[in-house]
Amino acid sequence: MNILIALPGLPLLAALWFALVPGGDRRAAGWVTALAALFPVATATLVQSQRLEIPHLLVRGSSALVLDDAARPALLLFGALWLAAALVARSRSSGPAAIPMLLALSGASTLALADGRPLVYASMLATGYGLYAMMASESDADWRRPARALIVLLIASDLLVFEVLLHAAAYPEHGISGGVLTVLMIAIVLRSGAPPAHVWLPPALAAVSTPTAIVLAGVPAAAAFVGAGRLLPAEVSGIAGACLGLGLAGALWASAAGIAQSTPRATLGYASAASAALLLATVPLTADPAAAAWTTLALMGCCATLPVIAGQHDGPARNAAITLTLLIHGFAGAHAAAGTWAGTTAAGLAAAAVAVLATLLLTLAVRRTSPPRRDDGSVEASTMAIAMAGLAATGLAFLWRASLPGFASFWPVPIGITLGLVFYRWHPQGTSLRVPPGDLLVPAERTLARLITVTATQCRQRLPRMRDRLQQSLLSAWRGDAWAARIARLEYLLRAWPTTGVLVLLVAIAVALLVMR
Amino acid sequence: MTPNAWLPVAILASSLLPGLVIFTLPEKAVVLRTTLNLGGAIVKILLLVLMMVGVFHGVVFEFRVPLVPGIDFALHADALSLLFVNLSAVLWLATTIYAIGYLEGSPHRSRFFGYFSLCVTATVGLAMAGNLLTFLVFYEALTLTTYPLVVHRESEVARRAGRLYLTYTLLGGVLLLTGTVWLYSLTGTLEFVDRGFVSELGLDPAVLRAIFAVLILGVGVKAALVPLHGWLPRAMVAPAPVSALLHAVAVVKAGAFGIVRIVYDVFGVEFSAALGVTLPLAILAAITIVYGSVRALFQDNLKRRLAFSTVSQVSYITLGVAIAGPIATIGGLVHLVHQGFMKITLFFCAGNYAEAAGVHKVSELAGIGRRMPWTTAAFTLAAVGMIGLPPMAGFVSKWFLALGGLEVHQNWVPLLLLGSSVLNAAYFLPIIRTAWFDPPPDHWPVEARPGRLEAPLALLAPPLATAAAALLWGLFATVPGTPLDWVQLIAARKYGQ
Repeated sequence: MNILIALPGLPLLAALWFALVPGGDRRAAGWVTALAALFPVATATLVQSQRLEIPHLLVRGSSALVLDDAARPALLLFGALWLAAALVARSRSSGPAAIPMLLALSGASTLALADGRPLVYASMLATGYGLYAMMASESDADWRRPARALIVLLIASDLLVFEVLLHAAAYPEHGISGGVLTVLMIAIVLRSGAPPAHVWLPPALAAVSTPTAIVLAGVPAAAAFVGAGRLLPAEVSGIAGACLGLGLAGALWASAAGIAQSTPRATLGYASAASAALLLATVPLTADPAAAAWTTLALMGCCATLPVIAGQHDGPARNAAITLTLLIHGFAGAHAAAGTWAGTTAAGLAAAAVAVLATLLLTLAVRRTSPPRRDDGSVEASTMAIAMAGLAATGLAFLWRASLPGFASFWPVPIGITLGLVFYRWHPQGTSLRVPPGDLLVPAERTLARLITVTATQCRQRLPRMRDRLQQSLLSAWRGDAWAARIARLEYLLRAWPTTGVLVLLVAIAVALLVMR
Repeated sequence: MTPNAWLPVAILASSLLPGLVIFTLPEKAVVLRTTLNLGGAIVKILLLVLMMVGVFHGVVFEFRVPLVPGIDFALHADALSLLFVNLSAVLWLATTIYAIGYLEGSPHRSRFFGYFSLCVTATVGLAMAGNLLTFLVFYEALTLTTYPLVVHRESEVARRAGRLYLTYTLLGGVLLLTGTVWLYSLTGTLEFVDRGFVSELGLDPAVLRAIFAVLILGVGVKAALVPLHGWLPRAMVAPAPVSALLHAVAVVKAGAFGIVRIVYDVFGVEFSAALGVTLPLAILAAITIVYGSVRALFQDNLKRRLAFSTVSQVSYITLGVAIAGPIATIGGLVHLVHQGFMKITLFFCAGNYAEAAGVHKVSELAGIGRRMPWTTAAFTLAAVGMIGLPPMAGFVSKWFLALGGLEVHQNWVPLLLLGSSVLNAAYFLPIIRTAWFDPPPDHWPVEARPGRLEAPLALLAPPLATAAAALLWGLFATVPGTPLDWVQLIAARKYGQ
């Protein structure tokens, strides 16, 4: 079996194994998932670039799995996050089930390697619904509301991507440009967790266990922008301004809501959303797909490190992990902003502002994450947090290798971190002020519920009545007594009509005579 | 007559003769009945493979005897008819295996399997009908052979549903007969011809439009076009194999196939478009698609939800035909097969839930995935396919339908399909979620087989096989030999390309 087929295939086989042998031990399941997650990491690190054509796959017949410079960072990120999640999950009594984890890993691995639009689409779907399944397999019921919002956003995004693929297939001479490009970017935003489609992320992160939180903090945005890298055409300058504007607005929105949060996980949700906004403002416009992928790895790797840091004991290792995470996130964001928007001052400043806001929120989330009690913490968490920060550092190193950093790649970092610390002093953990993390969730839910109620009333009452009437009339077509009644009515009508008509005529004549007199 | 001419007759006989023999068997003759059932199904598939190879290479298989003066009883195997025969034959085998397990120990099995075989005979005959009158004969035969299956349980509810079914379908038959006679009186022929036989006769367009409407209403009853769909949800009282047969193999597909024949081989697709009858048909299909999905949303009974889903999904075939373009034709015709495999999986699974755990309602499905993981996995795959998500076969159908709409500048078609996908997701995803992720109850309504977690193998193998087929045909849609490949051949012939 080719190694590129094995990457998505191995987790699927493992999932099949767990389906065949139900009721397995969580520890064993955790180890198997960790091994399956280690495979993408090893492949990205050790295997040379290659391409595997898969003819006759899906509808276009031109799909392939490609291990190239853009695929490696995505494989590293997905593999590392699932590895960390699986290692954490194996020592806990609650958390995501193994099968959804493996299915989502299979989808994410395919997404990292996919070439050919339908295959990219299919793997985006598998990743998205796999993440939903991971949330849904949590034993705590608080995941329901955010998961509902996620599924609605995913479906909306899927439909838009489908529309884009159709358009590209129906009018190949036009390609993806103009309005279609805008539709595609909307689809990417909807599934990335970037504002305004972030409504599910903070409550979800607050509700799920640490393993799922590791994955949710990094994967939705990473998967969306890895997919965007595969779907977007090389030239997207037409929507550059819109991306930057939306990214800036999103980062501001996330910052305003994130600062007002009281729980570390909800703050992390807004930090992830702000990082997704930063990716939106920079990644689609990056000319080098590999650099875009390394940026994604660095930023989202840092976000995903936070749930692991929450399990670290206070001490030098924790401090090192926090410092590394904040610096790498800051440098990667600032470098991406500077590299993408080097040409114009105003745009450059706006992009740098997005980077500052994202770093600010991550700093705030870190500060609000207090270390565990001595007996709750995990020794492994220290190693794992350092390893994940190291992974993000790799992303930054490759980013810097692709284009050397300048002053613009540094100055937003201290500002972002300092502002984060200032806001923490101003609004530390545990204050009573709290913005509902759902933002748009409640009004959207209310509107939808009203719509469903109205439709249900129509369906349950009026339509069945109409159907029954129609059925009665159809059935009566075969009943003699119904025909007899019908004919009797007709006969009565026919007999009555002339009589009534003559009577009316007589009355009319009488009235006319009276009037004449 | 050449030996090739007898092949269509042999393919009919492969289910007709076992069916007639099965009627005479006592209830206890399980082995002989099973042998006849499975033997007939396997022979039919072998004969079908032979004919498919022949048709691909241009061999003509035609059987013809005079039926009434001037019109023959004609069986003709072309690419389109073999598509439908293929669907019927393969799914007949799956349904027979399932029904053997499902009806184990229940009364009147000889009667059931006898009518079951006759029903498939009628379906195959309808598929291979060489002219409109032969089509009508088998269309009515299908009505009469499925009625005893609908009322098989002999309860009052079943009888009422049967009466309603008969009323609707016989009315449809009357309309089809009216249209056939009217057409014959004007044209003097009823033979199905590629690209139609009406276009070159120079008849009054208004009359032709009226005949088209009567014929479409006639077959539209079985195709469950709104507002002629009322029989379908009521017929859900039938046993699960019958529901599977009605929804995936025989009745609704016969209606949809009738629409295909009328548009392509009676009027011709280009002439139908020129007459201006395809757009109203497409709009009717669109209304049915939306209506069926909306109604399905609010059904708590699982089989009723699936029934309304059928109302919606079968109209994709009509839509594909009515869009009147080669790519949409591919989408519509391939959905004939894809929907069959996905829907039969869903009905098999619904039957398994009812048999193994006594679960009939969506609200009772909580945690069923933990008790019956394989059945629920098959259900999930089929439901995902119905929504139209890759890599399932349903995605392929929707892709070609939407692309076909864009090809002929009917830009509303992709939007309709997107809306339908949303509705499909809205009524299928909650089932999947509750089945896999909600906690199971302490006790299931029925513990049919205490200690056993899954349905027995005879009930489990068919849905797994059909779900796997739906997955493979989506994943490797463009491999030679798939339904998509065969349908592309049909579209090329129908459009003369």
